[in-house]
Amino acid sequence: MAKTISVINMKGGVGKTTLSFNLAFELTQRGHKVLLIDLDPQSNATIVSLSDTELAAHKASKKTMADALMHSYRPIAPIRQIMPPPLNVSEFTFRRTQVGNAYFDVIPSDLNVSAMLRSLPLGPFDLAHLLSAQVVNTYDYIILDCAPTYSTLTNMALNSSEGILIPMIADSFGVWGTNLMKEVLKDHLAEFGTGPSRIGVVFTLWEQQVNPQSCMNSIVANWGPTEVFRAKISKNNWYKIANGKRQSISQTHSTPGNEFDQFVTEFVGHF
Amino acid sequence: MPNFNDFMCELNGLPPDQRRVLEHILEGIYTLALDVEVLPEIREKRLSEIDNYLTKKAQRSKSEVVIDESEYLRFVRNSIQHGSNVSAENVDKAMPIFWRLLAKSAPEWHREHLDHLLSYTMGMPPSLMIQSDDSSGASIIRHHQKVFKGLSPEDKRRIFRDLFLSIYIRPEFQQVLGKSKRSGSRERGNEY
Repeated sequence: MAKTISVINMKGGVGKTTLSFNLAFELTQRGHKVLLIDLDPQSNATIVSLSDTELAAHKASKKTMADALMHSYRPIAPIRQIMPPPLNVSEFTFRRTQVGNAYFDVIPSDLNVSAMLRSLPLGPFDLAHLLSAQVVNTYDYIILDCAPTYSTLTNMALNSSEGILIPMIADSFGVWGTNLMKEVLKDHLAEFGTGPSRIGVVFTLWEQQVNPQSCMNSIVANWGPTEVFRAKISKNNWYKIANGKRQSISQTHSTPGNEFDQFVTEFVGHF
Repeated sequence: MPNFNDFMCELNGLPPDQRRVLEHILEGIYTLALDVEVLPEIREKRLSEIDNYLTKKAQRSKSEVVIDESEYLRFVRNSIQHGSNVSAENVDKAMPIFWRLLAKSAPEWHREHLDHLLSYTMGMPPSLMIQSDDSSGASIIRHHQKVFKGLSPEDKRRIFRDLFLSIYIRPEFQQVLGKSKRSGSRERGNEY
């Protein structure tokens, strides 16, 4: 049964997509079945997973998150409506092959998701119509790459996830934003009575200097030792290069690749 | 009580110029002590002067040790932070100083934050003692120090790195380092 994890932070540019894509890739390399869902209208996870040609071909024959939202969102409160029929997830997934026969599935996003958001009532919704029991039983991990906002999409992710992974940059804005996430999660739980039960904060673009160290201390002190990953994702240009090539970091450079591998090990134990 | 020959043996290890000065001083003291002609009150006064000098010297040595401790921690911390080579011996030497100063800083800490930081950097789950209202910062530190002491030398060094870097920059710890420095300077200032 899949563990559904949202990669989320309301602050942009913290490495959510890089983390999501590399996680999907490395978990697949370890033999796990992975579904990566792009819940961001900016579609960065889609861009890094599919080439332009692949995306065009996918759109010609299959669907994206915008279609999923258009046809089958399910309000969960205040009045639970009749459950819409589950979607056939294979109509949405793109098979992203990697080394050997390994692959993970991706549900791409596009700008239409943004248009959908404007026409959707505020919700709350979840993704149960898409992540049916059959889908959940097919995968080991379902990773939701979220948009850097607190929107209907974020609500859906929080209502559908059992865990959230918060990438953060260890600076004063990052501390502020991540502590804000704690408040958002508290409010979310109070409002909807449901939400992720396991949280993990991971430091991205990490630099071993006094100020990041001090910001990390502040987060550890506030969040507690079990909710902050010990592995850190160092600032490294190889991530940009890997993203540009639509490759994982381990395919591109061994040093950051080994570091990311340590993070994946901790991730598997954490969630 | 060391005898005169002990002093002479120690002189052998000194550089020639220092040795000459010390020999001269020791000869003077020896002569003074043996001089039967000198009045008892003068001998008393001279010995009292020597005693005062040695007492002050001992006090200064003690304050210099405190200054050295904070300076030493700063040296080790900077070496680790900036990736310089710092020997295992130097790191080992910093460990007891760190724990002693951390214990001194106990009243400055928010209990929960202290427990979180120590547990995180030592790779432990949060200690259950935090749930008890009567646990103090000092008892949290003692608990973690006990765990630390039980580690192998290799694990100690590996864990100490993160532990030390994290705690060192905290204002609660810096306050104690600052106090140590200030008290050291004050004692020295009084003397001169």
